[in-house]
Amino acid sequence: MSRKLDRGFIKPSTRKSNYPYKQTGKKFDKKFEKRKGLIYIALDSCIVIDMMKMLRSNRPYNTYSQYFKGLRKLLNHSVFGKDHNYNKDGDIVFCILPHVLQELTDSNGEIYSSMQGFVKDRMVILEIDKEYQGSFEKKVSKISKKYCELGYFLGEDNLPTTDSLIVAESAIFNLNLLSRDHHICLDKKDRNPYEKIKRILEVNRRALSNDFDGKQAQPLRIDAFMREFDKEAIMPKFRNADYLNVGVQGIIYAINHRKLVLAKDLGLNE
Amino acid sequence: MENIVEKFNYLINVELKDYTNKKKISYYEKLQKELDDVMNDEKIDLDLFEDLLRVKKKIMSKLYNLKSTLE
Repeated sequence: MSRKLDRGFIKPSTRKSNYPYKQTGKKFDKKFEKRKGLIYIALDSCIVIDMMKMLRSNRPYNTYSQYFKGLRKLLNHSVFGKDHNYNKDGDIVFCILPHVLQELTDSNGEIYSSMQGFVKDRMVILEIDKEYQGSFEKKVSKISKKYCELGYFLGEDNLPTTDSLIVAESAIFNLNLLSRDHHICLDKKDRNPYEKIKRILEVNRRALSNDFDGKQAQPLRIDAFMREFDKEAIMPKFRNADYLNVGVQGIIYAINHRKLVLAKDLGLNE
Repeated sequence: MENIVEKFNYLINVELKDYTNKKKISYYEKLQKELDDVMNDEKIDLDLFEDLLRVKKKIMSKLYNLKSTLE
C-alpha cells in the first residue's frame, strides 16, 4: 500500500489545479495567455473583399485553401465581431487606412452599401485630423515618390499608382499592411523578391527616422503574417496616432484599455 | 456583367489628345461617379465588385497624377 502511494500519489500543490480551464470551463490556450499587447494591422481592400466572400460562402472549413484558413484565423482573433459584438480573447485590431477608405467610398464620401456593415462593425477607420491633413499628405506623397524613383508601385504608363500611397500611409502609422496583391507584397516571381521589401524598409527608415524606433512595419501576405503571429514574434507598434481625429484617438484609447463597450459608445465608425 | 468592366476599361484608356489637364480631371471624375453608381449596389456580386474596384484604382491613380501635375 505504501509503495503504491509513493508511486502514484501526487501532492496537492503539484496538481494542475490552477489551470484556467478548470475555473472558467474554457480550454487552456497557452498562446492567448502569453500574448499581452494588441496587434494593430492595416488591411488592403482586396483582403476586406475576400473576408466578406468567405463569410458569405457556405463552404465547410476543411475545404478552405491555406489562404482562406489564414483569413478565418485572422477573423477569429479580431477584437470586433459581427453585429457590434466584441471578442474578449481577441488580440488583433483591423485598421482601414485613409486611401483604402477612399477606394471603398463613393464620391459622396460614404462607404459602398455592400461593404458598409462589414467595415463599420469590424474595423477602425483611421481618419486624419483636418489640422494635420496637409502635413500628412505631404509626408505620404514624399515617401511614395521615393518608392517610385526606385521603380516600385508603377502603373501601366510608368506613373505611380495608389498602392504606393497605401504603403506609405501604413509606414507612417507603423502598421503591417496585409495584402494579396503582388505589387504590394513580396512577389516570388521577381528575380530578387526580398530586395524590394529591403529597399522599401530603407526608404521608410530614412523618411521616418525621427518618428519611432523598434520593429518596422512592412507589407505582408497573410501566410507570412500568420507565421509571425504563431511564432509570437514581436509585432510593430502603432505610432503617430497624433495625426488622427480626436474621436478616433478616443476609440483607440478605449480599445487599448479593453473598454470595448466604451469604444462603441464613443461612436466607433459611425 | 463583364461588359461593364470592359466598358469602363475602354473609357479609361481613351486617348484625350486635345484635352487640357483640367478637362481630363473632370472627365475622370465623371467616370468615377458613373462607376460609383454601379458599385453602390447592396446586392452586388463581390467578384464583379472586385473587378470594378481594380478599374477604380486605375482612375484614382490617374486623378492623383493629374492633380499633382497641376500643383
